Amino acid sequence: MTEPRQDFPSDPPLSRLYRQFATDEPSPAIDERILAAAEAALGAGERSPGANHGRWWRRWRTPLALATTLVLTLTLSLLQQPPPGDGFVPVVPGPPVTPAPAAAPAAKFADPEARPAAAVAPSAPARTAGALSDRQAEARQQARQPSIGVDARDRDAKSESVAERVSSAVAAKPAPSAAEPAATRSERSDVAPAVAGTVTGNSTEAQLAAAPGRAPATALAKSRAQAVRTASVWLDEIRALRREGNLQEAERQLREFRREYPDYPLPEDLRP
Amino acid sequence: MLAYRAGDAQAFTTLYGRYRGPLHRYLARQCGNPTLAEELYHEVWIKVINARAHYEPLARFSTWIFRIARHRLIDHYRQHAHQLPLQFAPPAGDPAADGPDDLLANLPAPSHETPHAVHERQHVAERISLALAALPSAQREVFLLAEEGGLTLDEIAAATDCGRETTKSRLRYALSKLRHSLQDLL
Repeated sequence: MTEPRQDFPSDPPLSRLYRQFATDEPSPAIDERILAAAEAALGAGERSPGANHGRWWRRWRTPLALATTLVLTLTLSLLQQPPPGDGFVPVVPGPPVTPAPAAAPAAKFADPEARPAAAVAPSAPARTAGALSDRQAEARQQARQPSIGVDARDRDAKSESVAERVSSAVAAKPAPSAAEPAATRSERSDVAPAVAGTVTGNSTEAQLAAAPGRAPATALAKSRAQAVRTASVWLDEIRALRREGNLQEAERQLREFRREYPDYPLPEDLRP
Repeated sequence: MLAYRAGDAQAFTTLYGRYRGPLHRYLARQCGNPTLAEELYHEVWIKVINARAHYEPLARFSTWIFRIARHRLIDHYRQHAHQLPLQFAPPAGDPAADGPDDLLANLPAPSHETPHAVHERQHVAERISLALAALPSAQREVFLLAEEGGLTLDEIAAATDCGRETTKSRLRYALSKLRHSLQDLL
């Protein structure tokens, strides 16, 4: 087959002439018949590349279906998780909190923005519990997210234990009495970090806190809790100033409050 | 062919497209009857299709398929022995001279047979066909296997079951006669 063509008799002009004019070909009808016969001879199982595709599909359809189901399940479970600090405020079981007498009107005229939280926690300590509840929900949420090296079952158990510890921390903290409304805003806002600090001692919480994206979520939850708390706490502070006899400062704070919250309905005891 | 044997129909389509013209021209020139050529052509390809399961690449596909075509032609000639042309049997004296050398002289000149109204291309094609038809069958066969099949001397010798030197001599005679016949076109 690889014979050298040195002794091959040839006549290039004649070959060129022959190839130039020898162009007759079989009819398309016979082409069609032969190609159809060739395809038919291959049989039903191996008819064409389409049949190969069919075999490929039959071989891989089960793994593909499983993989697709898994991906869809994971996607849906991720989509079902509420964003950090959004709406979900679980009721924290704990000792009955006696609402401060002065706080009752504040709850009565709760900030419309803070209505969901105020409905659950009408008083300041209860609102602190609401903030803690946010943290608790966040901890559960973090526990639900897939974490490297933590088994799902362990993760659920640990998150439950974290939630329980948060609840017990809230319960263990003595409910502030009505005599304490003079506490400053900063002191009150320190309650949540203090409680959080007790939880942070837990190793699971530390792992969760170390997870990427955790810091922004916590900051967002804090800011939301702060926003919910601000108006009523401010009013409590104004009341405390009045009780202390610092009327000038109380008036100044009240004016500032009105400027800050022009639509907020003032409690009766603070109306001019 | 191996791909087709493995079940790839597209491979057969490619193969068919590559050899449909050369094989058809080989059969048409050899038998001289377009209708019969188409029938033989179809049968050759059916043989190829049916032989796919046992196909082994012992030689080039062109050698294989032209050998099938040649055998089919011989079968046809055997079945219709009374219609065989005289020139198919080589003379005993000269193995290279497969037909009467003066056959060309007995044929009418191609230019006389072609009507003046016929297109020049058709005229030239007709002359080539006639020149080929005028060749002795064995010489024409060797020429067609070389030109249409692209076979080498050894492959032609294997396909035609004769010696290499005989094949070479036949091809040289065929070229010489064709050149003489088509001198004015070259």
